[in-house]
Amino acid sequence: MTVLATGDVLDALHGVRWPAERPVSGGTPGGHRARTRGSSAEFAEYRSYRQGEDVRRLDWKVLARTDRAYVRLAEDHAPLPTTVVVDASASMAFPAGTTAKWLHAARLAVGLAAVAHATGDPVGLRITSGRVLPPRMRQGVVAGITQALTDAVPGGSAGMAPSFASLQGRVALVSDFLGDTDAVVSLVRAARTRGTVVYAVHVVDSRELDPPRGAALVADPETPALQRPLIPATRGAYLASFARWRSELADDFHRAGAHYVLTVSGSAGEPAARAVRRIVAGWPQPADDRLGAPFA
Amino acid sequence: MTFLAPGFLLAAAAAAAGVIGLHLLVARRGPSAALPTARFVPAAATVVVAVEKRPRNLLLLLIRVTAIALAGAAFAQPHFTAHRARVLRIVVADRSSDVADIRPVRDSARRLLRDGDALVVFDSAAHVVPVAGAADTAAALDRVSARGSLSSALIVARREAARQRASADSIEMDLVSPATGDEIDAATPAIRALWPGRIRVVTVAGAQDSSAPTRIILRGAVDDPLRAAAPLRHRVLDDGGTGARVESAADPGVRIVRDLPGAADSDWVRGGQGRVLIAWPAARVAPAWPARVPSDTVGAVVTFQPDPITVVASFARSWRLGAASGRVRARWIDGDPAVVEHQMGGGCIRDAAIPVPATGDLVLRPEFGDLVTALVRPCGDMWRAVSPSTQAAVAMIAGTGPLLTSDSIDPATGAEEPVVPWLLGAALVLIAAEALVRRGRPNSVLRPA
Repeated sequence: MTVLATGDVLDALHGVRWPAERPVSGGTPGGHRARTRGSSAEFAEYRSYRQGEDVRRLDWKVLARTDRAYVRLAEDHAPLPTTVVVDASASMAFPAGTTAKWLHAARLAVGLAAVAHATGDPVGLRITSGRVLPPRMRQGVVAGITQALTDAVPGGSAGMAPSFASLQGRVALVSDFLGDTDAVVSLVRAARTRGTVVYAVHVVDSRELDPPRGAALVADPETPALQRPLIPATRGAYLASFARWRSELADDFHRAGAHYVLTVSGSAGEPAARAVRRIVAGWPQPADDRLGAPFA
Repeated sequence: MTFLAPGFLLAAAAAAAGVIGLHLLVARRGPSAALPTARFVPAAATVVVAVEKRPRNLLLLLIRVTAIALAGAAFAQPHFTAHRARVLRIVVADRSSDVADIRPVRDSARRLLRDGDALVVFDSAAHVVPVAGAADTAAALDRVSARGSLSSALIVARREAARQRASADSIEMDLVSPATGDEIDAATPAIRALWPGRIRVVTVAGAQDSSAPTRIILRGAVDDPLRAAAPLRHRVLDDGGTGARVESAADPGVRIVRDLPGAADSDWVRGGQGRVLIAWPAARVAPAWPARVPSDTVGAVVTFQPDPITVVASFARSWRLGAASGRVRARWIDGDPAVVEHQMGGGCIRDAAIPVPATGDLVLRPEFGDLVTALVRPCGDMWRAVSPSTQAAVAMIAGTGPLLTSDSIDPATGAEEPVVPWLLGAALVLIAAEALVRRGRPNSVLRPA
């Protein structure tokens, strides 16, 4: 079992919040501005009293001074349930020795969960073909998520779509999107129509961007029969094809209404905490020469 | 042991090294590494060639290298020589009819031949006498009637030199021959050029030219126009009417009688071997030769030996030959015999019914001279023309330069040592065995990674 060290990530993300991009709906108090106006202490505006409304909401002092009936409205706040869906397929266990890609994804998930929890949102976790932790606001939820990710072993070829299909609120998909990408994009489009905010966090390992030159034959860990010679004659075509696919993937997610964020794992990759900051801030791509020019 | 073509040994060594190198190469699927994005690598052949430190399939390698080595040794033609002489001598002896006397040829050949030397005997064809019997053959050489051919002799001598090139450092060719012009044909200089060394030419006396007598007795008038014919112009000994002055040891053997031959003439023919009496009357002198009425003044006469000679002139043919028997040596254009030869004793009599005009230039024309030459030849076919040897021809054959080194001549084709077929056979057997062994290993090249 690989030890998932998240202390540095949590320390680096202390004080970081993950605000909702628009007012959220919900009846319970939360950290985000709600779509409804309520009776909290945060004044928003006055509105004329309408017949049938509860008279207890009348601002009696204004009525006394102006002889007009007004209702005092205040900003309402609601929580945004956040679910982090982590891809635990075999392609995430890369490279074979360090599984840096999986560790990076797990640390991202923990970081996103911690930031969302710190914002006051209930946080949950779904590991593809693995454990499901529903969104909770209790204190130990981040630790539970960390333990679940620590216990998880990436493998198999389970897709993301089943884990993502019924989620609402805010969903962060942490994956390399080498599986059922088309189905996921379709679900994102559908989820967007029902108000779900989707963050597509694309994890790419630095060795995928610059494969070692010693290996002559490469195999897809999820499809062992797929073996291709990665030699100088095919290396250039591989890099070009991979870059073109990443660009098309980003366009697909953008068109589906999701936030697409690319992050690089590995020794030459991006620290998880920095990636989390970019995700919550909406920066799509780190400054990395291997990734080419940032896309829109 | 030496090799006639050592280059094949080097080629075999290179091929064997190549085979060993190929056995160090292994086609395998290479070290496979996981890469989740492998789908973006273009599809291509996944087999890669790697080099191993130890050769694979040692049995196959052994068979292949051995087969190549055996084939290379066979093509290199190993030659086992216990002794390599300094100079090999090839004596080429002429026994053709161009040699006047065979005895000088025998003596020269015996004097030149040493132990181990080769003897080539030639006339119109040539053959090699085995070394064991060379001396005896040289001592027993006999002259044959066939004409000599130096081209044949040089070809056989060169072939023998190529066959024995490994037995000596240098090869010397000694030619014992008159080297007459008749023995040299158009191909001789080119064939001689194939021998890149000098040839010692031991010339012997050539046969005499018997095609035309050196002296002729002509019995006729002083102003006989026949005297002006080129073949007779400087050869006539006597025209005294009886010929008595030349009935001596210097009798030339050819007598032309321009009148009626008598009994003395017949006795003269019978009195010597090969004497020729030509009865060539200047006019119709014998009743036995019937007159031709009317006489024919236009015609041509043709002789047949050795080549046709045609003389066209306005002959006044007022008589014809009376005797129908005998061998016709010339005919008129209308088929009548013009010259008939009769055997008599050891000689012959030729009756010639060819009128010689006293006027005109007929006797001065070359074709008439050729006709006269044909008429004064010896009886029957017992004559031959000989072109004498010339210094230029002998110099051409002898050539210049040093002795021929054995390395400068190509080895004879098919000059195989007895071991060569065995080597080739062993190589073929190994090749067949290699196929069987290879068939038993279905995939001896591709190995898993």
